[in-house]
Amino acid sequence: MAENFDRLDQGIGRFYGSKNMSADMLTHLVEQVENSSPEEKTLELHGKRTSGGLVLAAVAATVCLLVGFQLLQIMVSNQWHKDISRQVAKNHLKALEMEHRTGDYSDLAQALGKLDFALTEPQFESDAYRLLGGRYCSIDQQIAAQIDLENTSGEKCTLYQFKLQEGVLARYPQHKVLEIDGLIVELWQENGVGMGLARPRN
Amino acid sequence: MQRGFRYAYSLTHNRMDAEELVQEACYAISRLGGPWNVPYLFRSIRNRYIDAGRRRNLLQVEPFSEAIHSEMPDDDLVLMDFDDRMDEALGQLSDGERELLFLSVVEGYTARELSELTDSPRGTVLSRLHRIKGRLRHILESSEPGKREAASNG
Repeated sequence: MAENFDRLDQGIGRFYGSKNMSADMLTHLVEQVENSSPEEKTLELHGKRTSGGLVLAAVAATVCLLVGFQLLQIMVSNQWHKDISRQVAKNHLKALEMEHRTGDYSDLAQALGKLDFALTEPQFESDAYRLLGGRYCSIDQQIAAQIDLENTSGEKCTLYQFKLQEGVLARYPQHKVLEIDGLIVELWQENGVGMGLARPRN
Repeated sequence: MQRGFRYAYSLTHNRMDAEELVQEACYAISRLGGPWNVPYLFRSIRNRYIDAGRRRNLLQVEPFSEAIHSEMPDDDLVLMDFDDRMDEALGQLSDGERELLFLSVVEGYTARELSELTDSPRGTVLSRLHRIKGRLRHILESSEPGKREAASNG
């Protein structure tokens, strides 16, 4: 009985762990927090009281607030990166069948013509990965390309490409590596396109 | 924030409602100037949820005997993976049952903390948790692909 509940608990944890607020909503909430700082309200309440101590306290509080918001933004960004990486890893593990089999990125870009960005060959080290094919999928609730690759050891790897909207472009990492579910997930961006590569841990 | 969203999701079992709840809670906290911590966020979310429930008369707890006999629709659920089945199964629990499960299993609340939150004796909380888990497991087991196929064939 207890063992079964343990498995059930793990399932519940996994289920809720996969539920994430959308990046847009997170950004909106962070902005909402920033736009309603308690210091502003405090100063309004005190009106014309501008003694040195009060000014110093207000400056100190503002600095703390700014540092706090910076930390909050970093935490939110880190969480978002983890969420994207989990989706990348999860989709990779599903190993869905490719809809378009090709070894040429131009052919694949043509086959996946409904994408809202230009699918491109990533700047991998030469011959590090061989293209096998691709299909449509979604990452972070937007249309994406799922691209099947094979590394030099013959292992299957999956690359995801999706358009980085204006609001998230700055928050998507230039290069970040995380380990999710025993996989290595790399996130980076090229020309406004978000890249996510899931590969086995060597 | 994401923990707050997951808590809200456990209450509403609906993405949009959960996001709305978190947004309202954040707005309420920001109007007060904080504090920005998880317990306070949870409390604010719960208060907003209860207010919404009072407005919409949504606070209903299904009796165990009725809910256990509720059936999932006969569609292509056979192909659902575990997360989909978990989603369906959790959807058959009441909001209060999901909240109790989430706080206990995901957030690690103790029975004492849950008894304070729900204003129920600790023993009641423990037996309720046990009953909810048993029911959830029963729903999940009956939605396993093999069993559903057998049920539909037999």
